[in-house]
Amino acid sequence: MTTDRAILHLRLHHPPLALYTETFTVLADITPLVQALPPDSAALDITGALTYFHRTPEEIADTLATRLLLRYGLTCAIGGGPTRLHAQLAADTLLPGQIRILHPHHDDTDRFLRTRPTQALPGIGPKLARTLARYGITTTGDLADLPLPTLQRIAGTTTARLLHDRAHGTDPRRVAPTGPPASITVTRRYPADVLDPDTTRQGLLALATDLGTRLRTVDQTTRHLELTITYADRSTTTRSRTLHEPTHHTPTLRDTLYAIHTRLGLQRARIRALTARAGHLTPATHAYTQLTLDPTTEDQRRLEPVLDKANNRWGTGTLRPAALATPGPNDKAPAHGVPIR
Amino acid sequence: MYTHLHVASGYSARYGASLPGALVERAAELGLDTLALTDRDTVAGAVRFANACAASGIRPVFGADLAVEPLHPRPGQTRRNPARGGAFVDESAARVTVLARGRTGWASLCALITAAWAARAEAGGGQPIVPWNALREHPDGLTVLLGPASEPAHALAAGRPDLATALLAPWRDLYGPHLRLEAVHHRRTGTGPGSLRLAARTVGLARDLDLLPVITNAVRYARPGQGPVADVLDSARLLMPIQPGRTCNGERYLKSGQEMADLAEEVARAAGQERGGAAHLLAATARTAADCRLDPAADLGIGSVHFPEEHVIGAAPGTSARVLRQRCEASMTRHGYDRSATMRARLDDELRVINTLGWPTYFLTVAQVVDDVKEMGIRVQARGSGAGSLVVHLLGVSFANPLDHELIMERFLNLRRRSLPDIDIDVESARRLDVYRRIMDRYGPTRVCTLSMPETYRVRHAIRDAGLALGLPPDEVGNLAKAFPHITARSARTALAELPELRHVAAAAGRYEKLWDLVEGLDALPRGTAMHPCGVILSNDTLLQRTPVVPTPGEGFPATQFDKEDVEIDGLGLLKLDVLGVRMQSSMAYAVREIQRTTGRRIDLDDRTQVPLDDPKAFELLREGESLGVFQLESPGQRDLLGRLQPETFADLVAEISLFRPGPVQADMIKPFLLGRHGRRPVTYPHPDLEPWLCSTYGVIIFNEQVAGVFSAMTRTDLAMGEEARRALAKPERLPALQAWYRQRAAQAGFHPDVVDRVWKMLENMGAYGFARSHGVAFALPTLQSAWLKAHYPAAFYAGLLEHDPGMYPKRLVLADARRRGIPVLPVDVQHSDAHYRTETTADGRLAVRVALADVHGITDDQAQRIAAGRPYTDLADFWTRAHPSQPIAERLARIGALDTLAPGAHRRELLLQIDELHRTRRAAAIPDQLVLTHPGPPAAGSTGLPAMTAGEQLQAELEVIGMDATRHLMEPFHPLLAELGVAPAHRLAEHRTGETVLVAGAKVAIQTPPMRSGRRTIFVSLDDGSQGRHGQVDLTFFDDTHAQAAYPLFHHFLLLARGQVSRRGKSVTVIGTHAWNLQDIADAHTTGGTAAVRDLITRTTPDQTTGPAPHEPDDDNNDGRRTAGASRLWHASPGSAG
Repeated sequence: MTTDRAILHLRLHHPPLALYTETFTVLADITPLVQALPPDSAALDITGALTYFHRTPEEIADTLATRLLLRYGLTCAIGGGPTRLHAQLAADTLLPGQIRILHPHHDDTDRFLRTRPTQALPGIGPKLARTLARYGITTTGDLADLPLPTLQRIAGTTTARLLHDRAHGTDPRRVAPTGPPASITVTRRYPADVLDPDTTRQGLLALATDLGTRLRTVDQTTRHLELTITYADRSTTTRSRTLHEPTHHTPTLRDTLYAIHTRLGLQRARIRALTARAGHLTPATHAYTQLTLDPTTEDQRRLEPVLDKANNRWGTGTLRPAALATPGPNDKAPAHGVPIR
Repeated sequence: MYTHLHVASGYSARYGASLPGALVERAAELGLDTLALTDRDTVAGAVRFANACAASGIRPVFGADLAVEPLHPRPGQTRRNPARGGAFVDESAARVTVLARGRTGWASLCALITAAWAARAEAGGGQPIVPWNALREHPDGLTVLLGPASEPAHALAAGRPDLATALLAPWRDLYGPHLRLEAVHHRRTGTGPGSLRLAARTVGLARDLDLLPVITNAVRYARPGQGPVADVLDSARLLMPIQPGRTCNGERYLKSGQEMADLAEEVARAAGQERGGAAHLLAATARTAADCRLDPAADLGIGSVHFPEEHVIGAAPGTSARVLRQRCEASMTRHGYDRSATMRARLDDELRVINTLGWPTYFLTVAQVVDDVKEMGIRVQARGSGAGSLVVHLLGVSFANPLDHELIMERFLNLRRRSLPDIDIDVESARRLDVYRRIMDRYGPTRVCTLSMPETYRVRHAIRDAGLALGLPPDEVGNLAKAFPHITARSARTALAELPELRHVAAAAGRYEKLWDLVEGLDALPRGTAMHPCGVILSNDTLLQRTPVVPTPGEGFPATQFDKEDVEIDGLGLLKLDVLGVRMQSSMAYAVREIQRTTGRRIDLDDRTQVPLDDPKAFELLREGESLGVFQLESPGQRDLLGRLQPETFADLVAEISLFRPGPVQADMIKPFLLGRHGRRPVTYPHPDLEPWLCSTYGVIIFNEQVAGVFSAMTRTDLAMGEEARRALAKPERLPALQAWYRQRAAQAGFHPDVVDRVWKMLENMGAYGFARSHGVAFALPTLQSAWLKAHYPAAFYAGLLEHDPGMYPKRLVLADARRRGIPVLPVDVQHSDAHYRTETTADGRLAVRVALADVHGITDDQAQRIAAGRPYTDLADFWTRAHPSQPIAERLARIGALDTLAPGAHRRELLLQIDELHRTRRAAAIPDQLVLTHPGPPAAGSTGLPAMTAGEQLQAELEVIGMDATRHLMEPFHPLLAELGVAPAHRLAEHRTGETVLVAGAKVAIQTPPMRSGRRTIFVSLDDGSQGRHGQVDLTFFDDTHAQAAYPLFHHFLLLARGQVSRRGKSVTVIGTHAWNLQDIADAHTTGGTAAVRDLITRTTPDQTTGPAPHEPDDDNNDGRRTAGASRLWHASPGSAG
């Protein structure tokens, strides 16, 4: 019976990306069944660990929290329960540093589940939650009490079936062990609004250069590039592209980012930050490369290792595209730029 | 002597940083003797500029900076639609500066501006660009400067003198010797506009082509250091933050002659004309300025009047005086006035004055407009001092015989007053635009236009625009702006320091130090123009030669670029008629139509036999204080006064309306008036000579007419002089001379010095305030008519009120009043509701008001009409197919129960589900609007298992969807809580003794902060707590020592709990407030944490009960709003007058 498992849902408090990846060594000490839920969480199936360590779920959660704090200085919130749903719902209610375990077949557990807002359930986004609220359904309990046929009229057959199960605390999802996420993210923030397209492109070039260097350093290639633009009102736009072939070459990354940016056609948007993320990483040795007969491309690719070596030796940014060269203290900036009429 | 030929003032909206007055002042300081004003695409600042110049002895030059159609269009690149943030504001059009030489030049200039704005309207927006055919059509009298923003200069900047020469050819053909090349040196680098190199190339090209070059500074502000304000204006115009490196570099101020000479020297040297080049440049500039002579009086027409030609109003040339006399005499006979010698004498008197001043045409014009409006079946009435004139009455413009109401003509026009008298006419608000169209048709577009109204920067807009310019986060700027009341931008810092509800802003204000400077710098600059709500200009057919017209945004009426003051005070040769849309007139017209629809009875409100001026039922209603919805009398103060004054006659109404004004309130005249009226004090006069003027008001001065009369009686002069003296009384600078004159004349007339003193005191007290009796009379008629309707046909009256919403109170209060007076209010129901409010007979035979579909949030006229036309419906599917509502509208209707009758047994949420399914089917249908043969059947009652809406949810839905609580009072859900907290219900407030501390609560219905005599701010709030009886409202007064705690909740929340002491004045009970809290917060705290949480909340938010400061959240405008949707229509707010 799947419901009689013991699942922990662990949420780290603001983990830096590098540390997040590392924490999985600590988690793996407890159980091999660990599923990464980036950017800051993980699900653990500790059913086996309970008997192995002769501990209660509370004690195991406690051990984990202590170890993570001692080793990495990270606080975390840990929710636990008989299903991944319970564990996650419990974790969602916690502040960093708290632990809450829900026990199966317990009145408190049922009460807890019934009082959750519908939006806490996985699979219910803001839109569906709004739709449900219009029908007066705001808590999981309301959802559980609704006859399935009615729910199906509201949400469609498949979704309704799923929601109906979740609302009753049924969640057959297992913890599928996966390693830490494979992606590299670089960000460029601006202290003031940027509207000038040249400045934006300069930023994108910097991102591509940075991303390329980091990929080549760890010997990985990417097939998926994602560009997120953050605006003055803190809203964002995200667009992504899948590349024709896995790559870690800066010019390709750069051109892709340029292409994504051009598609957006931004004019008066007040840009505050640019974030590029390379996903679908694969080791460079596994990558295939389309041969080109274009000498420029070939030259650039041949040059890249040289740049990397120089940068490794004398510090990042020693060799970089001319467009990224910032004027030194002795260079004079033009006194008055272009006027507005 | 150097002359600036290219100067933009603040009237170049979001471009110039100094108003014309400031520019002229600076020019005078610099010792300049001539100054040009060349605003962008407008001459709106011309009148103020001309007046400022006249005052400072500077010769004005008039012109404009215009965008022109390109001769050599640059290849446009098609831009992608931006995913975020919007597109750049297009300002790419080339610009030239045009100066007017004389009257023909001004006419050409007006024509060019008119053409540019017409072209803009045709293109559907963008820049107003002058088309070339307009330039070719109106070249006379214009001097054109081609500056750095012009096309030839673009070519020069790009290093193409050949192209520049080619582009100059058409300009040379058109303007010949009056074409100038304009060099501008702003010390910028590169070859772009404002650079030395471009200036030098321009001068060089001028020499090569034998053209005259001039040097200007393309001024945008008066003083050095105003550059940052110009940057903010750029950013507001271009809708993006200031970009570093693209700022105005501070050079574009009004430079002195010496500075300009130095610049000329630099330019000449750079152009290779070391010897004498600068002198030529300056001499050419001086000559150009000298050519542009325009006399403001003769050429702009300031100070003279142009009436429509006599033939247009149907009189033969030269006969208008005779026609006017004939019309008046005919009317005298019709009214039966002709047998009265006084009236005949009065008529002769008035006609003489009118003739002497040369204004018969004016009166005939107004009469014709009024006749036209009446013919259209629209209610029309004159307001204002015009009601004092017998001629105006005889022409059918005003209803009242001035002799019956002691009105004097001199208040309106007299020989001593040269400015045009104004007659304002009130028409139904809903048909105001029809009236405009009719006037347009009658006089033609060459004689008629509407007025512009500059919208100037006040604090909120200034903060928003300065915040954008500095690149602050939009939400932060929004919160900052919203925190401020609507005050001038100049007083932002003062408000921060003084207003308690801004404390939390002030605490963080240091972070925005630069912002406040910019906000103050923007003060009073125009930021756009709107159509004036009521002014219509009538003229002869030279109108378009004297003013440019711009199509108004919504309606496309031509509007002159000048504003009200330009036209009114300085004439500009334009005759203005105010046609005001009055909602009450629409409401009454609606009520009358509704009565006819339901009963077939035709009522003419203006027929004195049907609606007598002393109708007992109407006056009884008013004496009871049941004045909600009655014109002019519904404010809490007026209601209070009604109770004390107990009006019985029409004259009482006039007094009632006039008494509750700032003047009489400040001079404390209400009390003596009431004492005199109720015979509790003998009526005395300073001198028996004054009795005729003061007897009708028990010895108290209330009206302007009385002031004029007293002056004339005391100084033994005519009324015209008395009226002039009254005008002088309002002007502090004229007061000493006036007093000296008055004392001398009164002493000569033999009045005792004591009498002279006492009367002067009375008059001085009146000061600038006072109210014209003619206004009072004009107002009192609709007051009486609306009271009559309310007394005799309440249901139709309420329908009219709800349909046109004329009053100060939100509709929900009108509903409550209707319910209280026994008129049932029926909720929205698609089977019965019409698009408009209707009266309806209920099962028990009473007349009820049915809420209109039009009030459903977001419904279009189309949809409302369609739903109404399709009635009745058999079921929901039938409704869905035939009424074809949009999904959100159908949903809203379901939520307020408007569809309940379509599916008996099913509750609202079940209907909602069915609507969603119908919607999905419709969307899935292959062909839109295809007839669906099988509709899902109606669900069996209760079979869905959906929870029914609770009473609270239903109320909430009503407030959100129709903005009012039609079925039950919105305070009802709070009643148990209020009882538990020991809050005094409004109807039991009278049982508390004076001075007792009480708690009161309710929904805010009105909040006012009128200017007080003491200069301190006092907040008046009315709360409606939904208790029974006629006293469902509590009126509270908060004095300024309580504002630290109370002001924030009072201004920002809708549901309030307040603490205060009971106070009594006469019969009325009010509460002097000390504390206020957001009732919603308290209710929420009670739900989550019981009474303990309430205690906690009160302690936290009441600073004098703890030591800590009150934790106000700056951004919780939305906290009272679960009622965000339409919350603003739930209460009335005004800084307003005491009335």
